[in-house]
Order: sequence, then C-alpha cells, then structure tokens
Amino acid sequence: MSAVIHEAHDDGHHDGPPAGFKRWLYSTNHKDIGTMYLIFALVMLFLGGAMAMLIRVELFMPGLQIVEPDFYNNLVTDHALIMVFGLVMPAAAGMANWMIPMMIGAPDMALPRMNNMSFWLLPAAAILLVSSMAVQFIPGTGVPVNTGWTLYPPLSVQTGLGMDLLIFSVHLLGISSIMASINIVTTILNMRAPGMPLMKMPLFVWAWLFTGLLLIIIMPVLAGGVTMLLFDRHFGTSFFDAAGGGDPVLFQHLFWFFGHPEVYVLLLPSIGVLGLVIPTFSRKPLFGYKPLVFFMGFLFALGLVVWAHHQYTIGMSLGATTYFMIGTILISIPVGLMIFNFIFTMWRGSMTFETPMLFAIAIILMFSFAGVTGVMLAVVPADLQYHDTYFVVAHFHYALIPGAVFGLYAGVFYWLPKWTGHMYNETHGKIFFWWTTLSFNLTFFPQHFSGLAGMPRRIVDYNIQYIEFNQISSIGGILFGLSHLLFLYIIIKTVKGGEKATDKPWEGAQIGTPGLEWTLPSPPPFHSFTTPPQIK
Amino acid sequence: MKDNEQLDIEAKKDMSAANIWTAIVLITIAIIVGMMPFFYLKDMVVPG
Ligand code: HEM
Ligand SMILES: [Cu+2]
Repeated sequence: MSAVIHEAHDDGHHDGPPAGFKRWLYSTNHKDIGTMYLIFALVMLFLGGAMAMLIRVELFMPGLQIVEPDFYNNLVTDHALIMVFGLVMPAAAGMANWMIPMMIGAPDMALPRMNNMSFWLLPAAAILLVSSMAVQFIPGTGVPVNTGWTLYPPLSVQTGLGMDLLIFSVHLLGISSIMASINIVTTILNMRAPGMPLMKMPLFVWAWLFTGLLLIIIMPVLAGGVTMLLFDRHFGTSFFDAAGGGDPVLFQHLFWFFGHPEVYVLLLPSIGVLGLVIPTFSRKPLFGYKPLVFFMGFLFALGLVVWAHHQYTIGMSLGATTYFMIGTILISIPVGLMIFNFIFTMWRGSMTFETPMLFAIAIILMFSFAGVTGVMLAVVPADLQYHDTYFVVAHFHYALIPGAVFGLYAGVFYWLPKWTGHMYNETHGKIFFWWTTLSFNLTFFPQHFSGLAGMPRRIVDYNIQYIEFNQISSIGGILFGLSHLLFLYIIIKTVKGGEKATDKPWEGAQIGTPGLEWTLPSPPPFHSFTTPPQIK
Repeated sequence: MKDNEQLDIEAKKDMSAANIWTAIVLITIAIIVGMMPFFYLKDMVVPG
C-alpha cells in the first residue's frame, strides 16, 4: 500500500475504472462491488416477488388453481430463501460496501480481492438455486424441495435431486456471506481514519459490525447442518434419523441456532439506516447514540440464545421451554427501547417528510406491530395455538418487510443521490411509498385473522371459511408486487439522469455524526479518499 | 488500472498485516463453530 507512493502519481490519469466487463469481473473497488450487490439484490427481488405473486394467485381461491401441491411448496421454500439470501442480505451487503469505507474514511475495504470473491459466489449460488427448482421438470429427479426454507428432516432427506443442488447453493451463500462479514468486520476494526473512534461511527457502521459478527458465528452452523443432511442423504450417516440413533430434532436446533440470529442479521442493517435517516430529516442528533449501540449489542448477545422459541411444539423439557420463553420476551426490551430512541429523536425536531423519512416513520409503526405479535408468539401456551398458522406468517412479514426491506428502501432513497449523482423524483418516491405501504398492509394484515382462526401455513389448499381474508391478501399481494415496477422505474430514471445532486443533498445529513460520506462529491470519485479525511 | 494496494494512500499506517491477522482470527472462529455440530454429534456417524 505504501511502497509506490511517487510512482503512482505519474499515471494518475489512469485512475478511473478499466473499461468493459473487466471493470466488474475483476473489480476490487468497494463501490463497484457494492453496485453489483445491489443490482443482484434487485434481480432477486423480482424473482422472489414473482414467486410470491404466484403463491397469492394460487391462494385466491380454495382448491387447486394453477400449481401442483409439491410445486406450491417448492415456491414457498424458494421464495423465502431468495428473499432472505438473495434480496435482503446482498442489498445490505451492497450498502455496507458502498457506504462503510466512505463513512469511516477508509480508502477501500480491508480485503478487496476477497470482496470480489464474496460477490461472485452469489451468482453461482443463484444459478444452483434456480437449477434446484428447475430439475423437477426432468423426469426421475424425485420430489422437488417442498420442505419450506427450514429444510427439516426427515422430509428433506427424502426429497429429490433438487435438495442436493439447494444444499450446495446454501454452501456457496454461506461462504460468500462469511467472507463478506470477515471483510466488513476487519474494515471497521482496522481501517478507520485517524480521529474516528468506534464510538463516533455512524449507527449504520455499528449495526454492520454486529451483523458481521453474528454472521460469522451462525452461518457455519447452517452450513454444518445442511452438510449433515447431505451426508444423511447420500453417505449412510444418520445424524437426523432416529432409526440409526440420530434425532431429527437436532436439525431443528442447528437450523434455528442459525435462523433466529439470522432475523437480526436481516433487521440490524436497516436499523442502522434508520439511525441515519431519522436524525437527518428531524434535523436533530440521534437521541441516545450510546444506548442504541448498547441495545444492538444486547440484541446480538441475546439473539444467540433464544432460538428454540421456534420449536415450542416439539416437546422440550419444562425448564428449557421456560428459559426460551423468558429469553425471548426479554428481547422485546431492547427492541422497544430502540423504537423509543427513534421517536425521541423526532420529538420536537424540525421534521420534513421526504421518501426515506416516510419509510422510516412507517417502519416504526409497522415494526412495532410485529414486536407485539412477536411477544404473543413468545408465550408458550399461546404459541402452541399459533404455531404453523398464518399468524406466524403475518408476524414475520410485518417484522421483515418493514424491519428489513423497507429499511433498505429508505436507504436506497437516502443514498441514491450520493450513488448516482442525481436526485430521484420526490413525487414518484412518495407514490411508491404509499403504494407499497398500503398494499403491504392489505396483504398481511388479514393473515393475522386467518391465522388466529387456524389456517395452517405452507399448504396449497384451505378451508372455505378463510376465503375472504385470502382474497383480500391476494389482491394486496398483487398490488404490492406491481408497485415494484415503479421502484425499478425510479431507479433506472435516477441512474440515467435527473436534477444534479449536491455533495450533501440532505440538509440535516451531518447533524450529530461525522458524515464523511457527505464530504465527497456525488457521485464519489472511483477512489474515495486518497488521503485520510479530517474529522471535526 | 491501479490495484488498491498500489494507490498513493498516505494512510496513517499500513494495515495489510493487521487486516490479514484479523481475518485469520475471524475465519478461525467460523471454522470452530462450523465444526462444533459434527463433534457434538459424532456418535451419530454410524450407518443407519
Ligand atoms: C419482539 C421481538 C420478537 C419476538 C418476541 C419474536 C418471537 C417470535 C416467535 C416466538 C416465533 C415463532 C413462532 C412460531 O413458529 O410458532 C417467531 C417467528 C418468526 N419471527 Fe419473530 N419475534 C420478534 C421479532 C422478530 C424480528 C425482529 C424478526 C425479523 C426481522 C422476526 C422474524 C421472524 C421470522 C422470520 C419468524 C418465522 C420463521 C419461520 O418459522 O419460518 N421476528 N418470532
Ligand atoms: Cu426467532
């Protein structure tokens, strides 16, 4: 890094990106890799969204309409995996790549070549995932992956070739996100500009520090679990086979040891975005920055030890059940306090309601709702009733769509001017906000009722009594899906042109935070900081 | 194009070695947690 100081000046004009596909394929540039992550996520959003719409069309009426039961369950499985691993995690990683080096005043990510590899494993994983779905159309490949994203044995040991491809896909996804996390954590720990102690970092950076550490701890366990599945399927082991001395419930523990912290992986980056968007548009410093960091740490630690609330119905000992129940209910304390911190940030601020802020406020309202249904689900006797019904589906869509996806949309609108150098059209942004928010609620609110009335999840058919709720849901779902065409249009239009964005397009962007990213031009030069920035 | 390593960055100091060590520590943690289920369940590695 330091050996060639004067040489480098001579060809300073070559400093831009190389032309053509090499710029992308060989990229070690955090912004280019960030862009690729974001584009990948957008593609996956449409793929996973198309599956969701197919599911909702099928559920418009009871009985079988357009898909076979196994294919339906395959859709449910792949929809979830694509949204979790294809949309939310890559989009959050894309934002981390773009913003973290700029926010902490680093020249690039700590390990730029590994960064390249983390990204390029993703398209490979996506191809495997899509082929795992496609092989069912080849005769003789067995039953498609119809287990749901939780991949529980013994069903997952009995399904066909698709499961093997899916397991390999999960391996690649795991390797990719472990490498990305190592890179992000290393960058945050080692690459901060002088004068940027940890406790000065923007909340988004803190959020990603915890996310990265969580991923490093949980992804290997998922990888281990699915590898054991693979062994049980092909190599005669019986990790999860009771007949051979194994136990299918062990897989559930392994899966949820990953699965529960994973929901914080999806949530935290968006909380980080809120921690920037809300002060910006309230024109007040974040209320309680230190406590917020602490709450995130609390969430990180507690999140690792409450996983079995997904398995209350398997017959654990009373002691274990009680422990997991209390632990889970405790989690709502830091979550609730975070929400209060955001509300107090807005309190008496001079607020304006640009698209990112609209999303932020809606997130607070809708995500709190998920917190409430979460506490209901945490209570064991209640959960025995709610488990595996649409109530759970409603709960986690209220948690994940506002908590993760809308947070990312807020981030997209917040940073689009920085990324592209153009302002997006505020009217279009607002239309998109209202369209998605209303149709989201139309889709998922009724599912609370069908769930409480007992409608089971992951089943293609349903009893006639649930028809109204499902039809409302389906209409909402189609509208929700279609709103994303507007999203795509806004993005393409902003990339191509529009009003020029200033370095700091948002008046309040630097309030209470170093805001180094706003000292750079919009869009930033190919290499952000060639000398370490000054922090005031 | 210049690699990131060749850029004329007057960073406060060269962090490459520290970066690699941090990465090694983190990957070690990942490998250990990834192996744990296998060791814990080693008794189940018998033909069923
Ligand atoms: C106040 C905090 C929360 C509590 C107490 C809570 C509690 C629960 C419980 C007990 C379940 C299991 C329900 C069942 O299967 O019977 C569950 C499911 C779920 N939760 Fe939460 N939750 C909370 C917040 C969140 C957050 C923040 C997210 C994500 C951002 C989330 C995502 C999910 C998902 C994805 C599932 C379903 C997984 C599946 O079965 O496929 N939850 N929650
Ligand atoms: Cu959970």
